[in-house]
Amino acid sequence: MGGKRHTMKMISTVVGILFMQQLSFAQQGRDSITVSLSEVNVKASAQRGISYQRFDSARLAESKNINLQQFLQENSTIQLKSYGTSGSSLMSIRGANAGHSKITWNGMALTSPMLNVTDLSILQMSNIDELSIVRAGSSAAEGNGALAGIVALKTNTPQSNSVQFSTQANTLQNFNNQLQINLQNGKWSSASSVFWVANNNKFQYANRAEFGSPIQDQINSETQQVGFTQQFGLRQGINQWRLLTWYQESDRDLSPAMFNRNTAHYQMDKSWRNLLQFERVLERRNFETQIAYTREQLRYVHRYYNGGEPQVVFNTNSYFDAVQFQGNYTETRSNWDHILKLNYNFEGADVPEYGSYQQRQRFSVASILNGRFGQYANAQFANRYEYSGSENLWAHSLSLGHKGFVPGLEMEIAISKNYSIPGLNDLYWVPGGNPNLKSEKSYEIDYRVKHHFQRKNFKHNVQLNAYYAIVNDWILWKPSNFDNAIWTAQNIAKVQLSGFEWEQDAMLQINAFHSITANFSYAYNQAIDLVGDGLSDQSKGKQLIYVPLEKYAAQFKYGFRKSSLTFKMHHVSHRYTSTDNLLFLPSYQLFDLRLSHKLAVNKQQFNLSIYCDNLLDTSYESIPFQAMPARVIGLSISYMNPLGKILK
Amino acid sequence: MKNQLRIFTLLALFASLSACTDDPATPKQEIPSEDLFKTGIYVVNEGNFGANNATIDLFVKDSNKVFSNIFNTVNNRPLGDVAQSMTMINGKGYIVLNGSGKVEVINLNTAVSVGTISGLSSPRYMVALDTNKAYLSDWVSNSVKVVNLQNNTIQTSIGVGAGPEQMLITGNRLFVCNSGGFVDDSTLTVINTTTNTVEQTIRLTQGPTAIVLDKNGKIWVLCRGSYGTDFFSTEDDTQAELICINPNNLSIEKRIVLGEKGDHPDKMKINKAKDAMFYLGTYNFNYGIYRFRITDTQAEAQPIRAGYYYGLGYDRVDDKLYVADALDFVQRGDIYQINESGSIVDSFKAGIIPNGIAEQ
Repeated sequence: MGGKRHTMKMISTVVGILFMQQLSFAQQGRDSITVSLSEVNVKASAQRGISYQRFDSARLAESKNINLQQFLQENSTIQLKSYGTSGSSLMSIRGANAGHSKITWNGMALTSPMLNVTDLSILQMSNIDELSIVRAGSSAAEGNGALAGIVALKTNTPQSNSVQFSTQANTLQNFNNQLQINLQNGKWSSASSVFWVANNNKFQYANRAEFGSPIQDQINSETQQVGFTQQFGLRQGINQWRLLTWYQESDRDLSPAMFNRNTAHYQMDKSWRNLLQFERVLERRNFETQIAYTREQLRYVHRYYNGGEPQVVFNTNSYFDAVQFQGNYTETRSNWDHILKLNYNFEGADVPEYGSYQQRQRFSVASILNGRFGQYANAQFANRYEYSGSENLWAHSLSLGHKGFVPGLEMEIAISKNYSIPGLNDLYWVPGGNPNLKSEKSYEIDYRVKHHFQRKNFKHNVQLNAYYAIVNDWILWKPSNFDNAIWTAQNIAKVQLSGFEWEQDAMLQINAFHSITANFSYAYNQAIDLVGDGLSDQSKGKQLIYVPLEKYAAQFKYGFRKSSLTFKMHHVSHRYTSTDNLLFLPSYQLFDLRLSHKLAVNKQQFNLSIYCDNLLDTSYESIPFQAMPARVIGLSISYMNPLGKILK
Repeated sequence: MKNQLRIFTLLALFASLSACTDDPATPKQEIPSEDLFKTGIYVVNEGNFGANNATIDLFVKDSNKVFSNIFNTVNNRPLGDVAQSMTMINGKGYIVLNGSGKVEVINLNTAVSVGTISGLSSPRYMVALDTNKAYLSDWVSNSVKVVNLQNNTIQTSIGVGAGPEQMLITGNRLFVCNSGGFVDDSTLTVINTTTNTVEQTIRLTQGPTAIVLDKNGKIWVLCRGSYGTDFFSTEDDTQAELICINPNNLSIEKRIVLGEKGDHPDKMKINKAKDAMFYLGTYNFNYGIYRFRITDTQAEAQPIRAGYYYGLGYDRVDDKLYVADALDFVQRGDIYQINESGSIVDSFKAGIIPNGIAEQ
């Protein structure tokens, strides 16, 4: 068994690292087609429920040249696990697994059903106009994959004509460029966005895996990425059409771990996403439908240097296709509104390790009823039924809200049941995939209190969310007791998730020239294994591995005339790396500084920034023995030309 | 304005003070005296693949005391990734680190690092011909490396079958189990240790992984059998066998079928008297520690101790059998000393994924 198990272990580990084949996958989801900002807000508030965080356009506009992993690390309490400078990056919301969260783009799931997770490091922010985070109970109506929450990304229909270009270079010899052209005439619209990224990731680190911790160059971590997004919009009275396509390709040399610099692994990801949306808006009714098609390719080459050219150990090439259909009907009255959602999903994967082409079809129907009781109280009752191809699944949520005890104060409590179906790797990977896996099911209670204050030149928001959840049938890969100890996906754990999030922001316009902005978010997440495995097992009652108890991110920005100085910091507490909580990665805290200046020349706008990330040159690791960059100094330039009227 | 500035001050304060939890304290590890080293056995803990958390522990039998992660304690650096095995040669310990592609060499009486053999892809096991020369199986490159023990360098590489695992030297021959690696193999490569050339390839059954020498000078090879094209159905599996070979004329003398179709045993050790082997396996999917005496004509259907264990080691100095339970594979495992009847005599905590003990 040793050799075969070793084979399996190697494959499983590589796959595990690559694919994080742990839990469910993301699906459906919806978002509204933009008709106007106010309409979007009304619909969003009707569905978002408790624990919702939305980032303002200014913060997003400043982040066009970074990827989603960097943005969430610096601006949210979402925990990120990065497999080195050029490796994958996975997110965890509230201590749940990466497979328990989903990422949507204009309502379309980006999470691969094959991989069951989304690699945030290859999602550039260049085409993202809106970003919001919906946590846990609020996402029950969104169904599968959203057990822990959703990161909803959106590319908006352009509201004006413009050309925008931005470029960034830094001391890692990393270059990031994006160009966007927006055209519209009130009826027709077109938005084209192109990005290209060339990262050399040149830096040095102290190799603590070797005697004397010698300073060494980071090697084999070059990445190249190109992509474009194109959208066409047509508005005809109460009807609106939108066609979006997003293609991107990423080629990455995967940086080796400190302890084996002979490896030279490589990964290529290609994705092509297409989305056709239609929306019809009446006075009290709204009908939306969209159909999406995704094709993705993932190639992974496991190779190492043994003198001379790298030797290929194995080379896998996988493809998957997904078709998602959504239809939403909204009926709005003065005291209530009701949303009916229908979803159909097809997922197919051509993965050599599955043995044969695997596919599944899923269907779901959801009902969301919102009631408003006078000025002060509101309630939401959401139910979702899904047939996953093998299981009948239900998600429910009930939330009750109250506002007005104190001006600006809102309180809300919610209970919910949700589920997450296994990913295709969990089901079909040979060896170890388990076609008999059940869905993971969660039961959660959330409480939120929020206060908003605004007076002339001052704005202040604070929100506190507390939560408690139990997840049953949590999927883990372990040697099986029924099949020669092959590492197999099994529904064996029961996990308790509890904690709170605190989000606060304030803006003070001191006078015409001076302003201060501050944002702060903090999360305390306990993720406890409730079961363990036998008397000697020391994991029972312990924190899950790689889940930090605490994370916070803060940003302070001082604006003076057309210049600004931004100071950012984020802290990640220690993360255990063994289930008995004896081994851990130490906590770290990073500080960033950015100085920006805006210039306007004949309506053309320039924004020049110089920045320093990891100001204190802190040495840290996201996973053990994968070096992360030291201090980085960079320059970014953005240009925007409002074109005025072009299309007739 | 004053209140607003207070809010900003508070925000800044929260941001700087909000980390409530300190990093756990790392327990200070004790360095044992040389006397304790001499009475101890080294336990090999694989650690998780890709996590660089392989360790070796020193278990002092007299006092039942464990000095955990002794390599790190003494040398102030981690051992490496996936400790597959440890071989003791001439007062030195050669710890074979599969994931790191290297072998760490220590002084057995102090655990002080005295060298590193690098330039390997996936090393698995090491055996010594004498104090100058050893052989090292390299799983991915389908080769056996010839190691100069004087300067810890690789002299040459000998191509063998797929996925070479355990090896054994008797006379002037090296026998290499070709386990199959990413494919299936069923051969035992015989290498002349004088010329370092392949003398013969013996076809056995699929998956030769473990090899021992009995008191009569006969070789026993454990072949785990094939899992077939899929890992779920047992229909296309081939059965595991224990095969006895005469090392002089290279003939197969006995073939013992182990378990039933679908059973795939692993990790075989021989006792001090060299008349009985112990292996981890299944019989009709009944997990346990099984025993085979060299005079037996068929495999025992019942284990001496039932249960799923990951590692196996035999202390041939004190004639003691040890088995390892890796628990959930992400925490420190347990080592049990087992007597002939399968009862637990003693136990202690080891590192992550313990797989055995150092051997000569």
